[in-house]
Amino acid sequence: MSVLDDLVTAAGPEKARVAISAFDLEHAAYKRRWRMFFVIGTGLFALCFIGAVFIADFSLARLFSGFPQMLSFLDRSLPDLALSKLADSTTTEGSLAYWFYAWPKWLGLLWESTEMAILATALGGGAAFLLSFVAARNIGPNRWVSAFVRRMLEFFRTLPDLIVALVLVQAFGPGAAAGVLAIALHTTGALGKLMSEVHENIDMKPLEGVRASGGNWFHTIRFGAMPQILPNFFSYALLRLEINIAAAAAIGYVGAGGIGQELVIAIENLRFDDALAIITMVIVLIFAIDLTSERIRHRFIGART
Amino acid sequence: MKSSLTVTSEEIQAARDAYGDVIAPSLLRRSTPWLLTALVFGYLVWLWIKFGLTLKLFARGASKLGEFVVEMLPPDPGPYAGEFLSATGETLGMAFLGTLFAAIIAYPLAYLGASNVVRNGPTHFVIRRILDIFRGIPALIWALVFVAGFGLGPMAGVLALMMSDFAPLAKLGAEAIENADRKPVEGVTSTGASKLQILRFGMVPQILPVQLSQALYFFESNVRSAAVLGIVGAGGIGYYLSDLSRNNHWDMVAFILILFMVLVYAIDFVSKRLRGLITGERV
Repeated sequence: MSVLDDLVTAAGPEKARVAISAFDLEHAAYKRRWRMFFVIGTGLFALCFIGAVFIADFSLARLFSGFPQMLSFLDRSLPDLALSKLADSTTTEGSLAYWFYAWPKWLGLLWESTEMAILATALGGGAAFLLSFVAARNIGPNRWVSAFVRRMLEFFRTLPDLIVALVLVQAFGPGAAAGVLAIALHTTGALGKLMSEVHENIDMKPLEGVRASGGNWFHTIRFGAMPQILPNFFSYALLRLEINIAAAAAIGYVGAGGIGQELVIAIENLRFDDALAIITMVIVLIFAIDLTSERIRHRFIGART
Repeated sequence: MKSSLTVTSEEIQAARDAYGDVIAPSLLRRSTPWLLTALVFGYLVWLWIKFGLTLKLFARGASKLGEFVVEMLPPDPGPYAGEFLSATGETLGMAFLGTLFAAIIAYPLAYLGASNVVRNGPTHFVIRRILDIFRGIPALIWALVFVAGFGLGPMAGVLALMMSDFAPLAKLGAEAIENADRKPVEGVTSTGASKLQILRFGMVPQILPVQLSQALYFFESNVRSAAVLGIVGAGGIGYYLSDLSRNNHWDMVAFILILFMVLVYAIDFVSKRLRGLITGERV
C-alpha cells in the first residue's frame, strides 16, 4: 500500500479525488506558466542577441580575419628578447633593460598615478563619509535632503570617471589636477552609496541611548553610530583605493596626468614595444596592490570583530 | 571573589601595577594616534600642493565649467541626432555581447575553479591564479590591444569587455559554488548518480540563478564601461564624447550625456527587476 492509498482511505475517496484533481490542475497551470515564461524569455533574448550582433557589427568572419593582424601587432609590440643577453645593460638590444630603457621615468609616473589615486580617494572618501550620514534613510536629518543627496550620489556614480575627466581636462587644463578631481567625484558617488547602506544596517540602540541622555544629531552620530561604522568605512576606502589606482593609471589617456599620458604618447608614435612595457608595469602594479590590499583589509576587519 | 563592594587601596594599587598603561597611558602612547593622523594629513596636503589644486585653479576651472554649462543649454544634437542615437545603441550592443560572451566563458571556469568540484589542490590553485591574472587587466587596456588588431569599431569593444569580465565572473561563480548547500548534492549522490548528474541536479539548480544574476549585474556596469571604451576607438559614444568635448561642442556633449543617462537608468531598472525575478528576491 502506498502513502497515497493511505491518504485516500483516510479522507474518503470523494474528497481525495477532489484534492488530487485540484493539485493536477494547479500543476498543469504552473507548467503552462513556466513554459510560456521560457518561450517568451528565449524569444526576447534571441531578439536582443540578433539586435546586438547587428548593431555592434559583430561577425565571426571579421573575428577570424582580424587574427593575422592581431598577431602582427603582437609581433610589433613584443620586444626581441634574447635569453643570453637578458640581464645585459640598457645598450644591448635584446636585454630586459633595453626593453624597459625608460623604467626610472615610467616608475616615477606610475608613482604619480598612485599618488593621484591616494589624494582622490582621500578627498572623495571624506566627502562620501560626510554625505553618507545625510543620505542614510535611518539617520538622515531630513527625508527630502536625504533623497536629494542620494540622487546626487547616484549621478556621480553613473558618470564614468574617464568621461568626467574629458570635461574637467577642458575646464582645468591638462594635468593631474583634473584627473584627481574626476576620480574624487566618482569615488564620492560610489563610497557614499556603500556607506549609507552600512549606516542603514547599524544597531540603532546606541543612538537612542545618546539621544536619551540629551545628545543632539551630531552627538548621536559621533558617539552612537561612528564606532560601529569606522572599520567598514576604512575597509571600503581601501578597496576603492585599489580601484582608483587602476583608474588613475588609465585616466592619463584623456590628458589627466600619470602613466596613462605616457602610454598615449607611445601609441601615437607607434612605439608599441614601449606601450607593452608600460602596460606590463601597470598590470604588475595592479597585481601587487590587489595582493597587499586584500591582506590589509582582512587584518583591519578581523582585528575589530 | 570577595563579597564586599568596597575596593581597598591595596587592590587599587595592584590594578595600577598590572594595568598601569591603560589607567594612565604615557604621553607617547596617548599622542601616537594624533601624530599618525597629523602625518597622514600632512602627506595629503603635500599631495594637494604637488598636484597644483590651488584656489586659482579652482576659480578658473569653476568659471570655465560655468561657461560649458551655459553652452550645454539647451542640449542640441545639431544635424547628428541619428549618429548619436546609433552610437548609443552601439554602446548597449557592445555591453550586451561582451557580457554574454564573458558569461559563456565564465560558466565552465566557475566549476573548474571551485574547490569542492575540482578537488585536486594544484589544479585548483593554477586555475584560480590564472583567473587572478586576467582580473588584473582593465578593459581599457584590452580595448587598446584589440583596436590595434581589429581596427576601430565596436568589435574591439565587445572583445575587450569579454576579456576583462570573464575572470571576475568565474571567480564570483566559483565562490557561489563553494558556498552552495551540500544537502541536494548528497541527496543526488545517494541515488547513485554519476559525477555529471550530481553537478546537473544537485548543483546547477542552486547556482544557475546566482550566476545569471551576477551576469546581469555585470551587464549593468558594462553599459557604463562601454561608454568609456570609445575614447580609445572601440566603438560607441565614447568616441563622440572625446572628440566633441575637445572641440568644445558642449550642446552636443550634453545631448549624448542625457541619452547615456537615460540608457543607464533604463537598463538598471529592467535589470534590477530581472534579477529579482531570477533569484526570487524582492528588490
